[in-house]
Amino acid sequence: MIQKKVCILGPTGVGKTSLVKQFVEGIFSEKYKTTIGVKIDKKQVNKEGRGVQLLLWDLEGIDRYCGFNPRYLRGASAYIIVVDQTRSQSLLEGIEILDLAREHYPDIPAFFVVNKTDLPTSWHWSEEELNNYAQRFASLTKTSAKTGENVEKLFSTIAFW
Amino acid sequence: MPPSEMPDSSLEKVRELLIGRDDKFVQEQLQRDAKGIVTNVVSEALFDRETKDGSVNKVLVPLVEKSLHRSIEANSEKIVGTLYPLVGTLVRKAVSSFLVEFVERTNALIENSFSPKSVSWRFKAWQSGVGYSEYVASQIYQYQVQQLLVIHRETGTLLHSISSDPEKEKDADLISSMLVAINDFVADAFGVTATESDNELGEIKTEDFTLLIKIGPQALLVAAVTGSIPPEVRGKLQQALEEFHQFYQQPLIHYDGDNAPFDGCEAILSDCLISERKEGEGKKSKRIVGAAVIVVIFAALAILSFMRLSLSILKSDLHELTPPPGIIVTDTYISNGNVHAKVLRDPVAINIEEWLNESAIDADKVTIIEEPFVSLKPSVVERKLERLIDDYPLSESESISVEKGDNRRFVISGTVFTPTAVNLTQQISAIPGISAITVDTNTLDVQAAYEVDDAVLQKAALNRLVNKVSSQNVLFATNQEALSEVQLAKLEALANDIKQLLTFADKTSTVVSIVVMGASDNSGSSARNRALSQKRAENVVNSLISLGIESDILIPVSLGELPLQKASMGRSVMLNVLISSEQ
Repeated sequence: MIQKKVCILGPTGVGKTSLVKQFVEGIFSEKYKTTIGVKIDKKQVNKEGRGVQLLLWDLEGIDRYCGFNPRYLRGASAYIIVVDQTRSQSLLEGIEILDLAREHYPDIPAFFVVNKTDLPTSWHWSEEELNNYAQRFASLTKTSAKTGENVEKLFSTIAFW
Repeated sequence: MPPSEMPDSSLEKVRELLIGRDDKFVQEQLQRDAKGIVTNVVSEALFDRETKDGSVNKVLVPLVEKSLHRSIEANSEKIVGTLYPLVGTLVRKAVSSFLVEFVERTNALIENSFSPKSVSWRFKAWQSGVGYSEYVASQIYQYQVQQLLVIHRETGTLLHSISSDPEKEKDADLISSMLVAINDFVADAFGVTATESDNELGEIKTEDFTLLIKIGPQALLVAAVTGSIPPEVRGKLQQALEEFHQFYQQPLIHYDGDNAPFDGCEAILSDCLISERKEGEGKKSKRIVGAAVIVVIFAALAILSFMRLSLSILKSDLHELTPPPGIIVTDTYISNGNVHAKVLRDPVAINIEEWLNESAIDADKVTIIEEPFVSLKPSVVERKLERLIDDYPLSESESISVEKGDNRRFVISGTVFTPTAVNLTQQISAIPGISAITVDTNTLDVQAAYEVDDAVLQKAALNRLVNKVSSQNVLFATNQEALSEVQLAKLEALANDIKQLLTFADKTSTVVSIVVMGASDNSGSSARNRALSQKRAENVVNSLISLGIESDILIPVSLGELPLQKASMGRSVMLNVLISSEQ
């Protein structure tokens, strides 16, 4: 079975952990993350008779005061950058994170996720601007960790990218 | 020209036209672009040939060696400069690994050098021809490699895992990733030097659990070990990791998340899935069982031999006992867990049970087989004489007594009538072995014979005899109706008394009836006991008849079982003499 390491990055409070929780039944408790800044879960995704095991590295929320340990991205098949469509700032921070990740690992595909679609859009970015940013990513997915909208689809896309 | 030759010549012409004479055209063409042609296929060709027969290596290795040699000779300074940092790291690693092993070994040695165990270990090591340190190492380590994980170093994904106990196997994928994450965390948090490998975790340890992490260029080998890890395990892990890299070099370099190529690595890893249990627990319990069995056997033997011993002691006690006069122990033996004694007993001798009890021997533990005999021992003869004199029936005007003097001299004195004197003398002479003692009857005052027709005298004699006979009882063994030899002898004496009694009865015109009452103890059924009592009474009556007593004065009666305190008292036949005047 193919195994893929996928890192989930994004500013604090955008719903990274919720996204993973929605996707998998969490095994490790939160305390690991607060200790070393990462929580790992796994989930198998099947498509057309092929199975891929995703190892999801849920990295601690990143803000401008503390960066993230780029080592965690090493060997990843993909990484997801999550932003929150109710906070304009989260998009900018997401792009900063992308730049930082690209700096260390330019070849790993990055997936753009706009989360919290269950809430009304309350940022000032237009669809056009959003799509412009999305150009830098492998794909753009709008998800809701609360309702589960597009969550399965997102991970399935990454698994068979 | 035959048609068949035509194509040949035409082909020749065509060839000449196309490639020119002597293939020069082709050669020219090839040479012009030789480099390009070879460049396109050289790698593939080399790879194919190498996979086909391995000859590329054969050709290349000596060439490379030679050129390396030359290169080192020519540029030794340069090469030393390049290798220096590498060699430094290599040596450092080797030395640190050696030191860790050395320190562990030394610690173990020190810990165990001064214990009392060490002396026995030294001896055992010497005995088995092994170095002391090796022997100690083998004794103190008790560990188990529970799980082995091979982790891809870059991605942190698990390549393969094996476990000694699949049920206890932890979620290896997540552990692997977590471990790599922790490793990254450590390297990032405490990293001081630039080189990554210097800061990687080598070991995570709790009190009894250790995660040993061996780091290779592409993969990590992680062993979850419980217990105290001997240095050999580290060595084995290192070796396995090296082998793993050697075998899976290509799949490791081109790893894309697919674990299929590593499926066969179990052969390499399983060598490391080792454990060593200290001898003891299992064997101990076996030993305990064994010891228990042995103890039980010994205890049983001891009890048996104790019983046997106590019997033997009893037997030898019995054997060594000096029997009283009139008793001879002819044989003692042990049979069916009992001591048997064959005894000869003179009727006047002390009762055997009494004798044994006096000698502090439990008579119940000895089965006595008694035979009557006549003892000629002077003391027995003396007693017989004394008894004869004491019991001698006398008329009221007669009296005799016996006095023992020195040198077994017995003086009989008193006053008797002639018939009594004659009778007495006869009876004294009839005592077996009487010659061993001296009986002096000179002081016996024998009065002139006169008819003892004095009725009062005769009545007195009769009454004495009635009392004597009535006081007799004949004893029997349990559930036995037959008379023993001893009792038969007794009956003989009894018959004589009865005869004498009848003589006096005749003279005094007295009617005599003797009620012979058979009885039994209260063991067994009462019907059986009644029959037994009857039989016993009849047997005594019959014996007396055969000894010359008239049958019509003997009345056998069955008393049945007697609820007596001492059961043996019931097993008897009692006599009661009834007398009445003829009127």
